[in-house]
Amino acid sequence: MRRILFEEECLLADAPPQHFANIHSVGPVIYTFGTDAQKRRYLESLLNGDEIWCQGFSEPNAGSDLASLTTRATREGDDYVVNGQKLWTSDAHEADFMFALVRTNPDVPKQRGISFLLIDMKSHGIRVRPITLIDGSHAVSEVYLDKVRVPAVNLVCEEGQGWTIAKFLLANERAFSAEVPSTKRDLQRLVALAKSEPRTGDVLWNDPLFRAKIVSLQAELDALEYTVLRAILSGDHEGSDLASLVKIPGSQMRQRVSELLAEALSTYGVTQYPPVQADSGQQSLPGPPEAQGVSATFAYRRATTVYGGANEVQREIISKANLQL
Amino acid sequence: MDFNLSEEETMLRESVARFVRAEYELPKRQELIASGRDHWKRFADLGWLAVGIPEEAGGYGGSLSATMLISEVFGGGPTLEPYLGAAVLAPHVVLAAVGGEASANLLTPVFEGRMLIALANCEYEARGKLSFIGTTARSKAGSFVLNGQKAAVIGGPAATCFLVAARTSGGIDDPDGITLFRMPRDAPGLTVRDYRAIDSSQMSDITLHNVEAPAGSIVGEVGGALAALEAGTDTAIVAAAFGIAGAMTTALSATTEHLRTRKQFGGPLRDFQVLRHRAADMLVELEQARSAAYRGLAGLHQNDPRARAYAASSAKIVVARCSRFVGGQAIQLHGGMGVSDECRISHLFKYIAVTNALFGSDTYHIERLGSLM
Repeated sequence: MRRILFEEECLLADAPPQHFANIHSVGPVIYTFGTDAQKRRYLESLLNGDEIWCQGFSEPNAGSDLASLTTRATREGDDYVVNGQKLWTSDAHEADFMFALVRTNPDVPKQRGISFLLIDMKSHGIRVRPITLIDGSHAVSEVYLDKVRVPAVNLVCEEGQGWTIAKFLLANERAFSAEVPSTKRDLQRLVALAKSEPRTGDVLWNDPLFRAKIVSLQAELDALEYTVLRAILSGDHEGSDLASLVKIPGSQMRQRVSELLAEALSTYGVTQYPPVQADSGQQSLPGPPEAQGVSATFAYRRATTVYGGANEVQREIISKANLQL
Repeated sequence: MDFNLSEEETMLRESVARFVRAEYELPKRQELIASGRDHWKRFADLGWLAVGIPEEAGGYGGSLSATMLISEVFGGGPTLEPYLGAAVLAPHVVLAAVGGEASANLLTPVFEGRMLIALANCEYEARGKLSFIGTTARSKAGSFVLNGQKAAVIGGPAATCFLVAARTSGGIDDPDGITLFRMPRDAPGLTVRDYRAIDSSQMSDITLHNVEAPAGSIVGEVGGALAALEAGTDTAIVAAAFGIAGAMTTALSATTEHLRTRKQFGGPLRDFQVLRHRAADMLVELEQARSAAYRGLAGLHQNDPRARAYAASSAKIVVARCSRFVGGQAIQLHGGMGVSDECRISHLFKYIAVTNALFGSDTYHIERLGSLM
């Protein structure tokens, strides 16, 4: 509950959010499963942001089917030797460490042969190739691991526990995967924009058809916020596991608000954003100041229904776990 | 906000659910419709009509959340009695109009099941807009003379008493000038046309032709009834939202059961991913609707007319969309059985459609919510 309030206030104040991988992903894993030495080494610096982490889960052939990952870690003396490739790794180019799922045993059922390893990104044999995304940004990379030596003390928990830890990590996130505070902030911007942008001698807000789209989304978001609250406050009391339900509507609403922000700006909502390497700050796009970033966000938000378990995977989980189908 | 039921509420929920399961399963429900019998007196004897109403007004006290859980379980039947109109809408309008203690005289016989009161405020053309009232009440020698027409009075056929909203001053859409009159069903000049909605719930249209109402029949302030109509209607909108969520719950559980048991192409329907995913979407929309209802309830607790109106309209919009989806897909996934009168899915679908049509469509509430943003 505190987390969601904090997140919301940060966003409403346009303050930077907490570093997701540090605070919400690897931090809880280390303080829950880590050794005392791991806790001493990593927790303080990941909390104060001195060291940045990235998540090495997805691979070229392990997307929705994450458990089929093939990055191999072989024990040699006091080290693991890691070979393979990670994909869509956020912040890899800036990160000091990667927490990665690696295969330590290929001879058991796929979920049971996975381990959770902490890898220094400065290790010899790591190469990071930036990937330019649909919005022109460079936020994710491809990470090649070629005979990377990782001290065996960097194993979290035991060999073969990687999948259990990953499920713990993802379970922590589920109630927050709706990203309601972000959509709330965007909707505020959208309403303000509609009330200020001109339309045929009036303001856009007074176009009843466009306003209806905004209002409908606002109502849906109001309700989704309550599902998140219900998930957090009532736990499993209701029999149905609510946290697993919020990602689908949450991701759809994030897309929807980005579409409406773009529509509110007419063609200024689809202007080309500056290229990745451009000297930002100097360049400005046509349209009102609020137009900055709208087209890029609109394009990037297509990812919300893909990442964090594609919505089709979510439906499969819901139909099996919640509905016993 | 506490989403967990108290021990008392859990017991209430269980006893209402037991009753609904026993009395409204098909074909018992159809027998009720055919015979015209109802369980209203039982509801009253069990105290269900007085739940969530302050004690000084003749109720049992307790919070509105108890009212909502009854509404939710009733929607899961769905039941046929005019609970929403006669135990939620009309009493809450009276409460808001005259306050707790002054309501007791009028409401105690209602909660005891001796009198059934129906609110007659809506007019066809208003489509949910509460200030839009054309029925007039002209003052004449210490009393009033009412003329006009009222549509879709919930529970009208069984009502022994109507609470009629009429204009004592102002133009047709004026927020001021609306006054509530209580009048007996047999008042001279009052004609009632009873009918059923597609879910077999009972409604009436009313025509008032020079109906005389003594000044003593006025409920609340002369010309100041709009606030009470808004308060009571917003409460009823939230109760309806819970009712619809209850109906959606029944529809989805029947649908998943059908997917597990019905065999086609050599296996159960659940073997088909397209059907599993549809059911998953139904659950997402069901909980979205239930959350909208909870948010509406939180708005009722806020005691701020603007926040209350916002919450009720917001809930109405979401519940309408989600329930259309779930109701429609429950039929779709049941195949031919879904459109049969012998299967409860068709009854749930019709209950959802009728309840969505009450108090203005979602289109109207989109407009209303927009005016509050």
